[in-house]
Amino acid sequence: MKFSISRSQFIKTLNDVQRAIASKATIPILTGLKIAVSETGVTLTGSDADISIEATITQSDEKAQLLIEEPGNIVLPARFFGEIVKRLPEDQMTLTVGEGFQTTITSGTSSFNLNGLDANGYPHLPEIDAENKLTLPADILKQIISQTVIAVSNQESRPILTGVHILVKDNQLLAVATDSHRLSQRKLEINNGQGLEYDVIIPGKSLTELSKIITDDLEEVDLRITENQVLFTAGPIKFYSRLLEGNYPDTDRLIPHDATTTIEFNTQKLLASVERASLLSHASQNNVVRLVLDPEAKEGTIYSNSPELGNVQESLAFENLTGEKLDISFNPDYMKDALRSFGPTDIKVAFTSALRPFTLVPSEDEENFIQLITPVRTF
Amino acid sequence: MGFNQTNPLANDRSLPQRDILCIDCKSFYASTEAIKRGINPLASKIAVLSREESQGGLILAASPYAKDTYGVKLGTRKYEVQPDMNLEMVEPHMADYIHKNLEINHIYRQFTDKQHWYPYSIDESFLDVTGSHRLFGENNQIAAAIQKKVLAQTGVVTTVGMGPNLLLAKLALDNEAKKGAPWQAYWDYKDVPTKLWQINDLQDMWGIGHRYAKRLHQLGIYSVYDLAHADVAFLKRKFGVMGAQLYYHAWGIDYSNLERRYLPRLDSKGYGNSQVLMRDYLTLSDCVTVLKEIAAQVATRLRRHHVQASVVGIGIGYAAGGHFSTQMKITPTNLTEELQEAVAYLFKKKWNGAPIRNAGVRCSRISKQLGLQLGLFKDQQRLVQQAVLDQIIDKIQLRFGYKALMRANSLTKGGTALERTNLVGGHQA
Repeated sequence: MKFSISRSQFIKTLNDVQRAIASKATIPILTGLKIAVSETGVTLTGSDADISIEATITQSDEKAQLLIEEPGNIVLPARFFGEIVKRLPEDQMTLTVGEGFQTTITSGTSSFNLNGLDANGYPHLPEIDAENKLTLPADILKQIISQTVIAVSNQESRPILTGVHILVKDNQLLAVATDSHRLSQRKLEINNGQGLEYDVIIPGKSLTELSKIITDDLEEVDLRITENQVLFTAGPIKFYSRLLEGNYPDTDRLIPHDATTTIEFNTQKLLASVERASLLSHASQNNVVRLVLDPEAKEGTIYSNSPELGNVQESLAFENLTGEKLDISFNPDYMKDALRSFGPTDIKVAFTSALRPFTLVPSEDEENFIQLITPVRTF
Repeated sequence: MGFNQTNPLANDRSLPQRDILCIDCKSFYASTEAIKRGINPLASKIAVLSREESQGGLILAASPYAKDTYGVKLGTRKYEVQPDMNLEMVEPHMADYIHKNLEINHIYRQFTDKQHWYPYSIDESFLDVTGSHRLFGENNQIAAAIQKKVLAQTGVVTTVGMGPNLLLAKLALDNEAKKGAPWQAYWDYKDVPTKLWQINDLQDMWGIGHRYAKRLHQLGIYSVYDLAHADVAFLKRKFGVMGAQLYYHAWGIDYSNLERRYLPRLDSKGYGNSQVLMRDYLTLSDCVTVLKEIAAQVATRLRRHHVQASVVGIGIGYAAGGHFSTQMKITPTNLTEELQEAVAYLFKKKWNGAPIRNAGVRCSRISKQLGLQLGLFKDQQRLVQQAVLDQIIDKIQLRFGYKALMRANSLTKGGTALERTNLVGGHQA
């Protein structure tokens, strides 16, 4: 096996693939990077058994200046190999595999010999039927991920909640995540010509990693789902993730539809107010802020109190406060995460009581995006 | 290992020069029992025995006479005590000892200020008397005054180790002062070669337990002398900062300081309880029962302090040796049921099925409790009721005793709570 390539292009792809490679792995070969050279291109593979990333550089990519002399496969220790490639002196590098998986990496006057491993020992990536796929706009997918992963649980005792629940039916995709204290749900109209139906849970960590390899120049991402794997194809990159097994709780019934008090805010202004209030709640390790809404007096006030440090109160800027008077407490971190996920827009917040979850939706589009936060009961 | 030529004691101006007393109550439990019976503590033949009813019961303390004459000491088993020794076996009364300890420390406090007074254990305290000389005289005069006063007011004989730092004071106490009247000893830096280096067993050194001793043995270090003549850089490589500390301790140098005592932050403080089980626990349900009991204890303590924990962990010791510990994040809580669920989950995840003999539960990442975070899947009403129920159980137990109201699983085979209700610090109150 032998090829030479532009180092800058190679590093870019290598960085993407290395996201999947852990420094420690239960299967030792997974700390390695697999390099497969065919007649037409070089494919890099990395995996940590949960996620696998495969990226191909083809000869048709001019910037890569890929010159293939002899096809073949090898597995190299990912961390060392990465360090070496990043420090080589010239832009062009050549990689040669000789007897006994001895690998030589040369660039300019520098030459490294590295002990490789037999690529036949590397696990096979799952085979996924290419026919059935959904195509999503890359920027929208990235947005859905950032809007939902904030609400996934980081607690291992209920593993199912560490994922995002994806439901596909007719022309709609629904993404829901909840850590049982807050919930985020996003709906999306999709083009589902094949009439596909899916009900799967994708680990939140996988989606966070996926989001990092979706670059701005990418237009579309293809989504293919099997029984226990999902494959995202983003340009030259294939991103595999295992799915979480089990039944996701029924979240539909959790979303309240009536309200006794409603109010509208500009997200940026409210976010700044909540951030100020949480300065004190964070410092005293009792992460609670209190919100009092008085429709008759047309007043909305946020309070936070730290027994040692002092307290803060701030009159909020708002629109359209209607309904009953309300006095509610909640974790400001949940509110901050939720507000950030909306971006700079106006939102409508609806409450039913001080002990029931309240909802946040964009004023412009109440249907497709909703955040739910459960309050804190104070004594 | 290279021979180290440097002498850390050469520059004596950089060495800590305080006046530290380390005071120990002679055979504290046994003395307290003797005094209650109107017997001279030094001449009494008393052994305080944990779990008197079982032959495997441990001697917790023996009076000086019993120690010297029969070699009975802490950890001797009941069956090793011969009838002809004519020892009086008494059960421990922990509450009495705690009370006596407070009384004695109250006397200590008259000889220095609060910052320079540090109760180290139930029968040992450190005093820094550097600033007390104009009031009370030289070190040995202060020591004598304390000894006289404690004896007069409480009947307890105290022994005093003195030194320029905490380590030397403690070593003077353990290796010289305790040996005989007048129950005093002073160790200075100049005594290091003649006294400190005569300690042959590394485990007799303060701060070296059997694990460190074992690791040091593997490096060819068998005595305090060896340790003092090891290469400090080598020790640092092997043990990190502890390596340097071990080395300096071997030279009698200890930089710890009572004024700059380590004060734990609220959020780094933890709440934990653990037990040595009375028998091997074999079944999952027995193990989970006892863990849940411990979790309930910890939860009660959290609630009493109006705090909640966001990390819960367990530590398990196997009967055949070996142990494991594991922890996880949880939503901040102090509810008994939630902590019990968490410990049961952790145990089921990590237990290898072998019999266990030690069980502990620890809660950390402590925060103040201002409210109860409601959840989407749990019935809000039930959650609130649970919190109220926990508080009511706490109140009833506080007022009428633990046995007045307890969870029924404590009656199953694994439960130890019922038997332990009368214990303080694991022994009878």
